[in-house]
Amino acid sequence: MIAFGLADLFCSALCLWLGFVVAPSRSLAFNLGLGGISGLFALGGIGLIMRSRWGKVVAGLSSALMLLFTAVILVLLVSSAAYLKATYSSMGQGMTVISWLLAALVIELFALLPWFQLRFLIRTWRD
Amino acid sequence: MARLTISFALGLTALFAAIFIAFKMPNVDRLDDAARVEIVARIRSAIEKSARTPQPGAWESRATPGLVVALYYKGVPSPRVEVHAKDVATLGAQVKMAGEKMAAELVAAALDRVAQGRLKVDVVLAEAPLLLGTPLSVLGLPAGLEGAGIEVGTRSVFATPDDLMRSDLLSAHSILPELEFHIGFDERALISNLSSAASVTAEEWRALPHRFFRFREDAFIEPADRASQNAAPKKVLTVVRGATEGPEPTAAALREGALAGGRYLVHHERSDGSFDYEYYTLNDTSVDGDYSMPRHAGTTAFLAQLFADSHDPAFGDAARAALTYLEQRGAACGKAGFPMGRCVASSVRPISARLPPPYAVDLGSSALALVAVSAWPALDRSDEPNSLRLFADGLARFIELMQQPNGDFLHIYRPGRGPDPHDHRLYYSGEATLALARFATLPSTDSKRAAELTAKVVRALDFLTVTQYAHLAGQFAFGEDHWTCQAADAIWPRLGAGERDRYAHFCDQFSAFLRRTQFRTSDGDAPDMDGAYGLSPILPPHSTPVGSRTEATLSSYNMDLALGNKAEADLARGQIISGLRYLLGHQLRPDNTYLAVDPDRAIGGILFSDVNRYIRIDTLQHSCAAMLRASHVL
Repeated sequence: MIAFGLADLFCSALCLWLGFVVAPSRSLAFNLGLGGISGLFALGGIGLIMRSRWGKVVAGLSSALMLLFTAVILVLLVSSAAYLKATYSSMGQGMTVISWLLAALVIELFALLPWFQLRFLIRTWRD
Repeated sequence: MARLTISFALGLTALFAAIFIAFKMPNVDRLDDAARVEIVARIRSAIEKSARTPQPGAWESRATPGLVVALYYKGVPSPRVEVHAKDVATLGAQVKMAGEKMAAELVAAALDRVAQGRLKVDVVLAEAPLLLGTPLSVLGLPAGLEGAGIEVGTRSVFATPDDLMRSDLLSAHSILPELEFHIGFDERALISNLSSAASVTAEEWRALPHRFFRFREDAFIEPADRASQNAAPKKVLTVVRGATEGPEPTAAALREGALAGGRYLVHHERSDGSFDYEYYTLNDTSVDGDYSMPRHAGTTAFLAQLFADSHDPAFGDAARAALTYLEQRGAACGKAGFPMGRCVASSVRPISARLPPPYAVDLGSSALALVAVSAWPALDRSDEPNSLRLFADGLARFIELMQQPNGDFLHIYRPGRGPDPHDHRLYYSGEATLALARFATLPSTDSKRAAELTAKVVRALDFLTVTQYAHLAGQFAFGEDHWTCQAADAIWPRLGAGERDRYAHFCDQFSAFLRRTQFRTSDGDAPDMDGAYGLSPILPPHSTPVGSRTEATLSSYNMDLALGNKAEADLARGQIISGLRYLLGHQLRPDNTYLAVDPDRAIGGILFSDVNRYIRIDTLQHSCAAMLRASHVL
């Protein structure tokens, strides 16, 4: 649980650094969303380190939100890849490959930690 | 959790398949040549009201979504008629109806329009939905390859790829302005054009069922010399993205291509020695915009090379006038401790309103000016005024002044302040290296000065081929090094064996890198892109990089031949021939100027791209210089 808590804190810091320092957005909605999800991860991380019940709830919520976000991005990427492949035929192969690579990157960046964390939390709740 | 994940993955797969099937353009066979000739002959016979026995064919019973027929004269398709499947279902009947409609519309038209105009037919072969209103929609139309249409109630309208190109709405979104990358169509303009052509009111739009669609077509046109043949057409030309098939890149065709490019430039040179910077073929206008002095100088260099090669005085006069234009923009540039040099001032980049012109001097203008002067064949003759030689000496001194200890160059010089160490631009270091290399190898450059310049060229080449790539990313990709390889080729006679091996190896790698971005026929259903360079069919290839990269690969080929690297030379040769075939195919000839308002002024030019139908001087500079060199080498 402490390992997940530390990972959540790291993930929160990483999201803040990427979203506000490396590639800041001009969109207020994006900034609010990013700030919110980073805050949830940080809060959940602290809660998990403290082994508190509310920590598990917040960590579960932040993981579910991140997985939902990933799912939406994946749906959009898969739709784009299919549309470009249909439009550009075999010449669209490269763009389709790029879409798949982006999807893989999105899974790696946004889905792995929440997926394992949520699975872990569900097991602890069952126990 | 695992089951949910697997279900989601399966759902994504189903989503991919559903979207792919919904938007995929059906595969359909194109017409054969005999069918195309017969279709054009029937329509021609109808508009000329001449007696002709139709030759029956299997194509007549083919069910097609429709066709568009237009008589092109001086770039204008008039009359233009459409026939849709709901009028008559089979192609034979559609052709008959189109002939009748054309004949009816031509009653009042001038007879010379019928005789001199060229019939173009766009047979619509297949349709697919056109997605609008999403961020991805603008990429939903392969530029120049597919048309778009609208259906409202019982009304339908086609906009052929030519119509879309004539409306200039196929490259509407700038993604990298510095590299002139534009992608995607102008969705708002397309909707407006189509609904206006279909005469749809807002009320009708709301009340009637409607849809937008895209379509694939088989397009063909009468040849330009049809009028002079005075007979039924025996052949028609296939049209893809406004282009017809060009000549094979034989030595004779390449030489003729270079000469045609030279003639275009002669016709587009103005009395002060400058050129029509960008000539728009769709409306016969020229635009100077930000007249680029490096491009002017590069174009001058090509004309000087063409004059040296052909001895045609028209090219000589044009090159000399263009050189004078450069000389007149010469200014004194230097700094303490260096002999004063001459530089070419660009008047369009003011750095301060308080400073008198020249405001800022870029290295590229002076470097390519030196390349141009060095190419002038009379430079060393006694009848040539000494001023040009002095100009060349001064330019060389200025370029030397801009060289840094590591071999690279500073790119901007501010009069009164000296070189600017902070402003770095694309291309200039390679251009400066080539300029010094060409100047060093002139017969009239004395041996001491030549040795001095050669050492500076070697330092520059070492920077360009080694130092600038001495980082992790530099091990995987290349920058724009086409000038670098030309410089290595130019200084070749003065290099030692080790330097030759090093630079030839770099240029082989550079050519191989370029080769990976060269389109091949085997890449898919855009054979007209074969030989061009690009990363994706979303971005229709530009002609200028094909020219400059072919020039670089020619230099690489020369070096490989000199070193006996047959395998590398063969690879470079294939790459060069593909590029030249593309360029010759896209050079404007009578056959492929049907979209030009004044074909005579466009002939010899090479379009910036199929969907950006203007001719910029540097496209000719690079493309035609490559053709001229290749005509002697291949």
